[in-house]
Amino acid sequence: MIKIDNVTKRYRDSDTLSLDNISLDIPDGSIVGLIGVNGAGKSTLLRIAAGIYKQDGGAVLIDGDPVYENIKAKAKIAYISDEQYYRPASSMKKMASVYNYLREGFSMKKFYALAEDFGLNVNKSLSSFSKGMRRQNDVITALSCEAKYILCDETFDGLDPITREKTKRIFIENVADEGATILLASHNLKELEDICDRIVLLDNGRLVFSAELDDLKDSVNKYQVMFRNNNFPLDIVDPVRPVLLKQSGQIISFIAAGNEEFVRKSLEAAARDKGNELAYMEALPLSLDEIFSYKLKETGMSGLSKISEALGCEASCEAAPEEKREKQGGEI
Amino acid sequence: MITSANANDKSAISERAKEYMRKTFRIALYGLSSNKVFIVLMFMVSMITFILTMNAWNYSMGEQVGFIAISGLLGVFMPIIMFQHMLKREEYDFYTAMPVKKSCYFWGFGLAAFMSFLMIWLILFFVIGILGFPEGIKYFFPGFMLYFTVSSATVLALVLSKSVFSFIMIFFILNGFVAELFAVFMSLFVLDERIYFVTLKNIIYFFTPFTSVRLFVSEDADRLLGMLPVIMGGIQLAAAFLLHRIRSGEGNGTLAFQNTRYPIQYLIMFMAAFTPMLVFSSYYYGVKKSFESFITRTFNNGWLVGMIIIIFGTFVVTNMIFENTPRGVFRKIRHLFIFTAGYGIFYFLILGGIVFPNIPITYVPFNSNMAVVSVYDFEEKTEEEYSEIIAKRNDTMLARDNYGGEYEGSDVDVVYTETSDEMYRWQIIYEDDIPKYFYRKSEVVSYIVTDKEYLKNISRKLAEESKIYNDDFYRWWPFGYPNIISGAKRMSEDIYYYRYQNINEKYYYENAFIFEIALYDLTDWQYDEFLKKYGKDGFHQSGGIDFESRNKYSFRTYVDSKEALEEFSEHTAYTHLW
Repeated sequence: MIKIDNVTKRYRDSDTLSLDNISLDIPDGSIVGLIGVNGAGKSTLLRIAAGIYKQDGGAVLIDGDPVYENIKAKAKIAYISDEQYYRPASSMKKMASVYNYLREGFSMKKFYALAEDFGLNVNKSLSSFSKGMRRQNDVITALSCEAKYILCDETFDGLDPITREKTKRIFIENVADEGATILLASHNLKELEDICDRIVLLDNGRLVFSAELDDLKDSVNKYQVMFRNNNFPLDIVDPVRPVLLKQSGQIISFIAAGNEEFVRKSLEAAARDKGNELAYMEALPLSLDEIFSYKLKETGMSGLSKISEALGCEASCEAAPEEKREKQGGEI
Repeated sequence: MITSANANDKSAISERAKEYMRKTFRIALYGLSSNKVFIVLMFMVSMITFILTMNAWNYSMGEQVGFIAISGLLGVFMPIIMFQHMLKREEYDFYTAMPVKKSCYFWGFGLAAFMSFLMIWLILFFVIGILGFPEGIKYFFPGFMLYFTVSSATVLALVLSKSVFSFIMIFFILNGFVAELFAVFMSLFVLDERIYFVTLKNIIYFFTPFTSVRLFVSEDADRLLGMLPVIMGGIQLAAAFLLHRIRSGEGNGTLAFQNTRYPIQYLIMFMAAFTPMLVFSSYYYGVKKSFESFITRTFNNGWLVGMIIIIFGTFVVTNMIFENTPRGVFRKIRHLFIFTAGYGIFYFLILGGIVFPNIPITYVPFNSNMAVVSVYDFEEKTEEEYSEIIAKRNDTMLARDNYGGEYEGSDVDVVYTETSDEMYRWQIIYEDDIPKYFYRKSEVVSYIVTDKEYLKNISRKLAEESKIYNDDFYRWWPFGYPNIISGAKRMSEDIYYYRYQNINEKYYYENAFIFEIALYDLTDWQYDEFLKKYGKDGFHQSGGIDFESRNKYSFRTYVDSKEALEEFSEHTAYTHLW
């Protein structure tokens, strides 16, 4: 397990905290998505977890061992940087030989197999590779390290959809077959869909929330409802505290916490109070960005729309009545 | 008693040590294999350097110049090659992410640099040995010392830097290049080197590995003094190791440790402003102390404007480097004013003599332990007498030419027997463009004073009371310097000939004696050798001890009687009449 315990970090040439008391447990065999806008602290957290930077406060433990300057702990980690280093004029094979020199458990056999799977020429110079191909090389070398923990910083950035799916598949296979644990940092929620077990949101160096995706999905649903009388105020759905409220003709859609039974009963009561009747209600599966948007609203964070937009959420939707009323007074 | 627990602990420690050594060697091999091209390139550069410096074998440094030169060259470039990742954030993070201890990287890459130096040096040694220079191996030790001192400074500069420009700045500071350039300038122009070097040499050698190598290759070198740069190299290497352990690649600054920025910037501004001032003041004002005019000259001679321009320019350049952008030129400009104020206080209060008024501006007195006091006597002729001598000389020369270099005594009256050198020493003094006096030095008496206590007391007094300017000193150089100690190797005649031709002042005083004092600060070895070789029972004229000229301070003054020598004669070891 990777245990991040009250970690703080301030860059040496800055007065602001880049990480502010971050506590996070990453259990073995999981794939964790680390989300945040640029400058949120994702890369810093990953570098601290990889033992590149030393935290100013708190601790980072890899299976109970502090990671900084600990070769036993570092041997369990493979780190893929957002600005990966390549030796000048080196090929994939030469770069792999560097890893082989510096890491004892590196598997050249696995390296060649993965390279073949991805269709990459190991003898070709890396400088002639496209950005996406270089990313593929990074993934291949990281997986060939046969490390227990793989830390990826913006790894899917630049990958085409097919390669992205292939990479996701290989990551999932690694977790399933070899018990690897993967921590993926990204500023794009869509990249992490279908692969993450857990989502962690960072903003301005603070941990906003950390939750299992299944738990999130169970606790929050998307609903589409319709009332018999078309003339109704939008606040009719206020009792269920909806988020991402949209109205399209007679259909109102929103996200709300609570199970379906609870929402139905609440809306029926609310409709009766206003002389109306709930005519139709359907629960729909949530996408990751919808879950994320709900969680942002729930935490009451400011700059909601800015963050949502930056993360690729469909947050351009109309805010709920409650949000509208709040907006008149200031930021949500 | 050895218990099984203790034995297990020892075994575990031993295993860890072995593992550490193995990893360190692995890193060293990695460093060598991944920089093969650079190593070959450095070999070629070293070979070319050696060939170019081979002609220096006949110079005062001897035939070791080539080996020493490549040692210095490799001391600079091999650490740069092996530790270049310090200057690239992505590469530094890459290595740091690997399961390798930082200290393994440090010693491993350091070992790779040293092994490269060794390989290149030994290959060149064998190659040169084949060409007929098998004695090169004796220069390995001084070469290694130079490599060690220079490479330590280079590694420390790399550890402190995160960009190429900041590395160059710190490298220049740590290798004492400014002091060395100063030393070279002084040597080239023989500008009171005896003064600054005599007193400041210890400090200069401590900080200047390139200059210090002379201490290893001169047979009469002060070995203890020569160890100072090595000690400094050890300190720098230790500092580099400790700082490397805590160094981080985080941040986008140009320095690894931001709190070193202002000390470095201030030091560079100080050296940039102070060094030229030292050099020019020494060049123009010689040994004379003139505090009363020093401040005036600062304002009148453009020094003030020059220093302000230098300080401002240095601030701008260093700011651009540290801020990593040309737009950072005027950031944190308050430091420019802080430094200028501090430097102004130092300059006017200290150098201007307001505080510590006895510190001279162009020299710092030293404690002499041996002195050579030389008195010249002159032979003077009238114009007619001189003309007779010239006529006889010309007849002799003509006779020799006519007889094809041989002549028979009966047909030629050869009365002129003076050698060319003796003839050359006749000098003419003009009054109103008319030759008036004809004279040459006829006798020199040298008094050797070895009373240390006495010399300690009078050294400062003699220097302060000296009234001779540098140009007067150089004027007399063509007369020769009866220095029984050093053998007085002549410098390039061009300088002194030029100065001699510029003489337009009356410099001969009737019945005067040229009174020269050379004060030596000899090393213990030199002092003992002198006493051993030159005892009171005789003087060995040939094979004089060749002391380093830099530990000598001399000047000339005029006296009009020999009574002035009485004071010295009481403390004289022996005298010699030339």
